[in-house]
Amino acid sequence: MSRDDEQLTADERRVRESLGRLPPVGADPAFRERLRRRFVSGGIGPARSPRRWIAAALAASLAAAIGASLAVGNRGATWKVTATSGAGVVTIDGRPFDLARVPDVTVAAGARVTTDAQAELLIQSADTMTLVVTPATTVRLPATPGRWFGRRVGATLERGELRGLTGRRFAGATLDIVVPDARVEISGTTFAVFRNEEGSCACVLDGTVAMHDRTGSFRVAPGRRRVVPPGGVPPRDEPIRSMEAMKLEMLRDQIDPGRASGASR
Amino acid sequence: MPSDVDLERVRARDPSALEGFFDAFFDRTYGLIFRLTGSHATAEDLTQDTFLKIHGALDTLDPARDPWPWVATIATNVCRDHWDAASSRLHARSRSLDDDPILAAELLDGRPGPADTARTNEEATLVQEALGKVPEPARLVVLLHDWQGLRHDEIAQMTGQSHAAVRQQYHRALATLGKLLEVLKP
Repeated sequence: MSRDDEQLTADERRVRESLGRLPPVGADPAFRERLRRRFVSGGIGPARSPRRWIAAALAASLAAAIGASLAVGNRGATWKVTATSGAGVVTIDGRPFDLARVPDVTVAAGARVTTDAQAELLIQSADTMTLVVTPATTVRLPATPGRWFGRRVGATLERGELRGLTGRRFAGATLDIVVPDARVEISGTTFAVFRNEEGSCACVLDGTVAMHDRTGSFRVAPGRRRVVPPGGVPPRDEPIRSMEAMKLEMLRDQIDPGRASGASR
Repeated sequence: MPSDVDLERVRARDPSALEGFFDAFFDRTYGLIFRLTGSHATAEDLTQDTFLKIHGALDTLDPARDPWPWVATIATNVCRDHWDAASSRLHARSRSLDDDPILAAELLDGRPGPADTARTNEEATLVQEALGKVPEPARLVVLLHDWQGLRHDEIAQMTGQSHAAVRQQYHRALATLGKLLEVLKP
């Protein structure tokens, strides 16, 4: 009940009491759970109104015909595991796979991937993105950007390290990687994002990323990294560590040797 | 507001903090939207839109303040956008349920809550029906005040109106509801 000290008439007080007796409203548990999952993963999208059925059905039929052709043309590449290293188990959407059997497996956009302490995956989406899911990492994979729309995609890194490289077809798109202490915005670069006991970090080999954390938004320049420690410790901007730089260079040279000349995408 | 929700981490979109935030505000948000619209189908759509907007606006969340007025502002703005987009339906809604059997069915299609007695159910249905006939923004004001427990000054801040205007709308809403409840009483 409100803390306002109202001078109400008896009738007004009766109405107010009726309102106060309205019971809590329960939502459909399945809807609640679905929305909760999407809110937490960042995969939440605008609702579609289910009302005005007939008009909506007609509009939907027309839109479907147009949309189907657009969607087919717009569809981004799928993720495919193209290489592995180490040994152990990889869990994809709750299903465990022996690392030796994972190559060539197609992985859905939005899949939650967890690697064992010894297992590493190289996954690619044609000429759009390459990601290395390093050992002991849990990540929800992004969708791949559409050709014309849906060019902003998101991933969630819960723990571990993700190294990546954007490809020719990524140009103009944006990848947001949400880590526990920040959001890393990538628009064409060779990068690593990790989350460990040090905090959340974005390392940049070439190109530029933006990092949004509790202290604001910052540009992370090539050859630099920004670390956001948990708790109240101030973030720091510092040179990328030589080991990390070497790993990123190896990835870049393996996937896109031409980029070593310094051109970023 | 549960003390274990760290708003700094919510701002940074930390998944575990987002879970806590969602759990803390989903029921209140859904409940408010349902009471404003009277339809579970619409409430699901608009609650989803609300949490979409919340996710996009987390950078503007002030960790030093109780987030509920912020959340409720977003929810009510989503409802207003919905009503603006369907202004003809809003007009019908503010006239009479008897003129709009579809709307009447919508208002009454609420899945039963955990009512203690048949009398409580009957009263809740009656009050919900009457609420559906109170014009905006008075319906919003009276719900936020008497069902959600917000103060007039908080509602004034949320809706961009003066404190006096909100108080006036509140008293008008109570008067309208009083008459409607008398008329609708079986």
